[in-house]
Formats: sequence, C-alpha cells, structure tokens
Amino acid sequence: MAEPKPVSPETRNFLLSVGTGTLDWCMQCGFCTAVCPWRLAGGRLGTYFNIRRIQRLAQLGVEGFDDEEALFACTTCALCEAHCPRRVEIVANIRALRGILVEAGFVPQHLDPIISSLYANGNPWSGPRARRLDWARDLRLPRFERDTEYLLFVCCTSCYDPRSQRIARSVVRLLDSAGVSFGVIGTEESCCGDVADKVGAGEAFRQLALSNIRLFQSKGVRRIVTTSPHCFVAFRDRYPALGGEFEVFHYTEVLLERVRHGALGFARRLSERVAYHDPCYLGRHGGVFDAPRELLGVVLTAPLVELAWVREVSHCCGSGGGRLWAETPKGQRLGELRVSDALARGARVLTTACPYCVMTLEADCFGLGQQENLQILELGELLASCCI
Amino acid sequence: MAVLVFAELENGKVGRNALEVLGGARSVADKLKMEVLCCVLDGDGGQRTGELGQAGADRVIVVKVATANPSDPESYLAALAETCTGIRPVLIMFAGTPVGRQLAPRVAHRLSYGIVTDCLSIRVADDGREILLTRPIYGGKVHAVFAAREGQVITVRPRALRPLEHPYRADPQVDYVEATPRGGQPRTRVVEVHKETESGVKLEEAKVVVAGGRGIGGPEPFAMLEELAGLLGGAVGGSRAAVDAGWLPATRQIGLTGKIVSPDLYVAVAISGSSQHMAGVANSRVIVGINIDPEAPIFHSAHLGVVEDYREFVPVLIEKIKSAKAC
Ligand SMILES: Cc1cc2nc3c(=O)[nH]c(=O)nc-3n(C[C@H](O)[C@H](O)[C@H](O)COP(=O)(O)OP(=O)(O)OC[C@H]3O[C@@H](n4cnc5c(N)ncnc54)[C@H](O)[C@@H]3O)c2cc1C
Ligand code: SF4
Ligand code: SF4
Repeated sequence: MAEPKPVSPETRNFLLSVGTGTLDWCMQCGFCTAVCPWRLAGGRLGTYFNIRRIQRLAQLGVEGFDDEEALFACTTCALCEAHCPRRVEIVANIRALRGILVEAGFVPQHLDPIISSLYANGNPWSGPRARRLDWARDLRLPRFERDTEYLLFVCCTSCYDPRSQRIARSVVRLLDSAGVSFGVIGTEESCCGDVADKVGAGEAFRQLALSNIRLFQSKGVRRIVTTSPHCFVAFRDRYPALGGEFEVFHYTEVLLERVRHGALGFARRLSERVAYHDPCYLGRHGGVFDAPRELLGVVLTAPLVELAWVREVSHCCGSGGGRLWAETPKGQRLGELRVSDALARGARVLTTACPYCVMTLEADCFGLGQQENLQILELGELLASCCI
Repeated sequence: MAVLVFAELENGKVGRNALEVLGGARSVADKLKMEVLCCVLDGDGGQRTGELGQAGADRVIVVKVATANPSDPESYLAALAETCTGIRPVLIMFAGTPVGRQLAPRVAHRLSYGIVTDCLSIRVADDGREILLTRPIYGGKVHAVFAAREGQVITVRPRALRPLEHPYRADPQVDYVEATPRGGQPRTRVVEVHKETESGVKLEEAKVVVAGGRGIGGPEPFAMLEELAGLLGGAVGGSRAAVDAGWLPATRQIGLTGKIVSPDLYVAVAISGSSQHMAGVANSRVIVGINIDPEAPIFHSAHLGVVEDYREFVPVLIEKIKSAKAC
C-alpha cells in the first residue's frame, strides 16, 4: 500500500518558479507515456520510467518527481511533446526538475565527470582545451576572419572522439568542395552547452553560452554552421535569451542550398540500400527533415529506405538529454531498436546526421553483432565518399 | 588546544584508516605543538588503547554509550558531539568511510565548526597558525586548498595520508567518558551489510590495470591478460565493446559509463581509444597502448605505444617479466 503523501503548495509554487510553467496544462491523458520509446525497449526503464507520472507528482508538489533514476532516464527526444494534446512543454519541465537536483549539488554520479569537465575544459570529454583542434591535425583548416561568411562550429564529440573526428573532417571537405566561405575559431571555443542545459546544470550552461557569445561577438560572427544538431538547436533556440543572436544552420541546410545552385556536385553515386535515422535534435527540435533526405536523393540510385518511425514521430537513438553518458544494459537500448528496424527493412547502411546518434548506433550495431550486415555512417561521411 | 581523531575500528581492530588519520593528526599536532586526542567507542575500543597510542595518540578517550552500535552513527553521535564540545579541539578528523562521512557533518553542525570533506593532504602553513587542507574539486581536475584557523572538522580520503613509521607511545593516557544514551527510537536501522564479492584486486584501487578491447577477439585470451595483471599485481578490465560482447562482466567495464580508474600503469590491449573509454582512464600516470594498427587513436593519448599483434607481444612480455622476477 502506497502511503498517502501530503500536497505541498510551497513545493508547487517553487516548481512553477523554476520554469515548469506548462505543468498545469497537463490533463493526465497519458499519451506521452504511451508514445515514449522507452516503452519499446523492454527492461527496467521500460516499466519504471513514466513521464506522465512525473508531471503529475510535480503538479501536486508531491515528492517522487525527483526520483533520480526516472528523472534522468528521459532522452529529451520530445516525441511525447509532439503527441501531447495540451502542448505541455514536457522537455522544459524535465530540464527544470533536473535543475532542482543538480543546482542543489545532487548531481547524479554518472554526470559528475561530465559537468566537471565542462567547467574545467569547456567540453564534456575531459579533453584538454589545447587539443580541441587535433581532429584537423593534417588539414588546412581556414580560420574565421571578419570577412568569413560562416563560423564552422564543430561539436566537442567530433573534436575529441577519434571515431567522431571523421565526421568533422568530412563536413570540412564538403564545405570546401561547395566553395562555402567558412572558418573555425579554435581552442577558445567552448561546448555549446546543450548537455549541461538538458541535464539541469543551468549555471554551467549559462557560463558556456556566455563565453561563446562573447567570443563570437568579438570575432564578428553573424552566421554559424554546425556539425551537430545539438549545437544547432542550442545556438538557435537557447542563446538569444542570453544575448546571442546569430543566424544558425545545420551543415545539411548549407550543403543543400549549394547543391541547388549547382555549386556542389557528386562524382559518384551509391547503389546500396541506405536508411536514414532522423536525429531528434535535427528533426523534431530543429525542424530539419528534408535537407538530409534531399541530399541523399542526389547521391543514391535506389530509393531511400524509410524506417518505421520517421520525421516528426521518429524514435530516438537513446543518447540525448545526457544519456550519451549513462549506461543502459545491453538488450534494453533504444539504439538497438533503430538498428534492428534498419536491418529488417533490408538496409545495408544506416545514415544519420548527428555525432551522438553515430556513436550510439554504432556501439549498438556492434553490440548486436550486426556490424557485417549494417554500416553506420554519418551523412557527411557518406556524401564525402561521393565527392571525387 | 588539541587535534582530535575519531578512530573507527574495522572488525574490532585498529585498521588502516585509523592508522592513516592518526598519522596525519600526529604530524599536524607536532607542528602546532598540540596533543592528539583519540576518541574511540568502548567495547573493542577499550581494548585497543595501546595500539592507538602507538599510532600517534597522546590521550585516548573511551566513550561509553550503553546502546552504541558502531555501524549506526546516530546511536553515539550525541555522545561524541558532547565529548568534542567539552574539549573544543582546533581540528576534528574522521576517515572518509561511510561512518565517518555521516558523523563529520553532524558533529560540525552541533559544534558550529566548518567542514572540509575528502581531504587529500593536510599541513600547517608556514606562519604556523593556519591548517591547510587540500581537496579535489571539479571531479578531480583541480585541487583546492582551504585554510582553517580554528574549529574545523574534516574527513580524509582513505589512502591519502600515511600511518606513522615508528610507534609513538605504548602507554597513552586513557580517560573514560560515560554518556547518557539518546532517548527515543533510533531513526535508522542497519538491515544488513553486503560485502562485495569481487575476487582479486579491485579495479578502482588497483595500481596496475590491464584492459582488453574488441580486438582481443574472444573470451579465452583474457586469461593471458589475467596472467599479465597477476604478475604486475594488478586487475583486469575492458572496454564496453568487450563487455557487450560478453567476454567480461559489466562490473569490469572501464570508461565514463563503467569504472573510472586512475592507476599508476594502464595497459590498453587492442583498444582503439574512444573518448568514452579514455575519459575513464585520463588520470592514469602512465598509459601504454598495445595495438596492431599504427594509426589507432590510442597512440595519441598513450605515453608508450606498442604497434604489434597483442598475441605476439603479450606472451613475450609475460616471459620477460617472469625471468626478470626470477633474477
Ligand atoms: C552510451 C555509451 C556509453 C559508452 N561507454 C563506454 C565506456 O564506459 N567504456 C568504453 O570503453 N566504451 C564506452 N562506449 C563505447 C565507445 O564509444 C566505443 O565503442 C568502445 O570504447 C570501443 O571499444 P574498443 O576500443 O574495445 O573497440 P574498437 O574501437 O573496435 O577497437 C579495437 C581495437 O583493437 C585493435 N586490434 C584488433 N586486433 C588486434 C590485435 N590482434 N592486436 C592488437 N590490437 C588489435 C584494433 O586496431 C582496434 O584499434 C560507450 C558508448 C555509448 C554509446
Ligand atoms: S500527453 Fe500531455 S496532457 Fe497527456 S499526460 Fe502527457 S503531458 Fe499530460
Ligand atoms: S522526451 Fe522522449 S524519452 Fe523523454 S519522456 Fe518524452 S518521449 Fe520519452
């Protein structure tokens, strides 16, 4: 028997004051819980994590919404938001509820090294700041100057993770071929802060964002092109409130525009069966569904393989909202569902346009022992392989 | 004026934690020309006063509380705080054990003392007045030094301080304090104590860690890594890829979402060096990478790289270590 819990108006008011403004719109229909991809993953989180319940406990100001395991399970993929009949800002609520714990010093253990490294190194990977440009060791990488059109902002993951560095290198190659005027600032750049923001480390996010905003402004940046959808959404949607107004693009948008103007062509076509996974942050959060598909249309000879859940209702790979740094037991991972779906549809290549998705899908593809049957490629890598 | 140590016994004995904290207290007290007082619970504690003297205490205060249960700090917190209030030591030290970590903040609060937890070192400033306490912040990236003048409680990280090399005194003064047990129902109850049953050296504490990755190719060759680790007095772990493949239990995963290790020597065998893996070993003193691929990213972070098939190299290394040990 569950014990009765007192409803606390103080807690409720406090929750509203930290940014859960749409909490009261929730009518407890349960759509969100029903569509959440964790339902399909099986395992503990599939039954334990219930987003509707978290909204309810918070609405009432009853303890339980701060259950660390449940609260930090959400990948902030926003699929539930896309279905909510009352347009409750579920992800913003999650962020605020996490913030109460994190800002009070109760950082979940697995996130401690991440947040510490964001403060100490300006990236979540414990990578020394001085090595931020190591990914371009042997490239002639243009520096951002006053007359450069785009600042190329490379995701920390592609700066420091050796597998992910290939993504940044491919994007540079494509932008170069397309004759785009771009440049990097380099070691003074800090993480966009998306992970800090989504795990509730508001102060870390603010510091990272302000340091980037000052840096970009001092260099005269007006337009930014990002390799990662997470940076794209952070710059576009979260920086303006802190005084950073920039025109922000994901690299697929910039490339598509060049293709349309005939400035970028591809020498090679691919005949493999290729499926595309919509990254939640490029698609639902960023609103970019077509640019990657149109680019694929240019280089693929066969029609694109569409997965079961795509575009506005695409399923998450499992790595947003800080989950890239959380362990999920094998056999219960969201990425496994995407890999299995791609295989079931006869795809030989699963491509996507986000460094987090690539890291996760690749690990899960290997974990399922399917690496011989399905190759995980970032879209930039796939496109660059079609350049001469 | 005095430095006070709460000595928590381990299975009724004066264990390594108590020896370390007393050793640290002794060196500080000598500089400050103060006494080291050592509080211990009666029962086993009363039998160990001589050892506590040898470990560095001038005076041992045996606290008698009728209902004290050593693993339930609340059962003797009041008595301990009362004793400290009577003495008002400049510094009160606890080992950073589960019990010490529960007692320290409560005692600090009751005495209106400051508290610094997880101290790695403790020394007296050149002016001879301030006590300088070093503790890690930002997940260990930075060491912060705190200066305490008076009224300070600290917890000390296990293995950070050294026990005294020579016995201090065998006959410390022993005082007994009788404390009235706290009334009312205890608020917490120890239901059971689980001992972790991990054989061999613990990964997090190992001085040498040998880890295998996807390139190992199967579960059997891990026997070779076990042998190497055994010779070096170390433990075996692996990348998540090796764990996902079922070659190692999940408790042996090294990396950001596994165990974070900081050995003196880290040997990465057939591991490519992904950021998730390397962030979990970044604090290792020496990283050795053994990889067949000269382009493997591990060589960017390794201090020493061996480009070779591990199946060729590791057996030779094992033989060399064996013959070196035989000499
Ligand atoms: C959410 C999430 C969390 C993660 N957490 C962790 C984590 O905590 N820890 C972790 O390790 N990973 C983690 N990963 C996985 C990580 O991204 C990498 O996939 C993984 O570390 C790769 O393991 P590996 O180096 O063993 O395998 P690979 O990258 O496949 O490397 C194998 C290496 O072995 C070499 N090799 C092959 N044969 C031989 C031979 N005969 N002799 C010598 N060398 C040989 C190859 O050259 C290659 O460099 C995580 C991933 C995700 C998505
Ligand atoms: S879908 Fe929206 S209204 Fe329905 S329970 Fe979830 S948050 Fe509430
Ligand atoms: S944001 Fe995604 S993971 Fe989080 S509750 Fe909604 S559907 Fe589930």
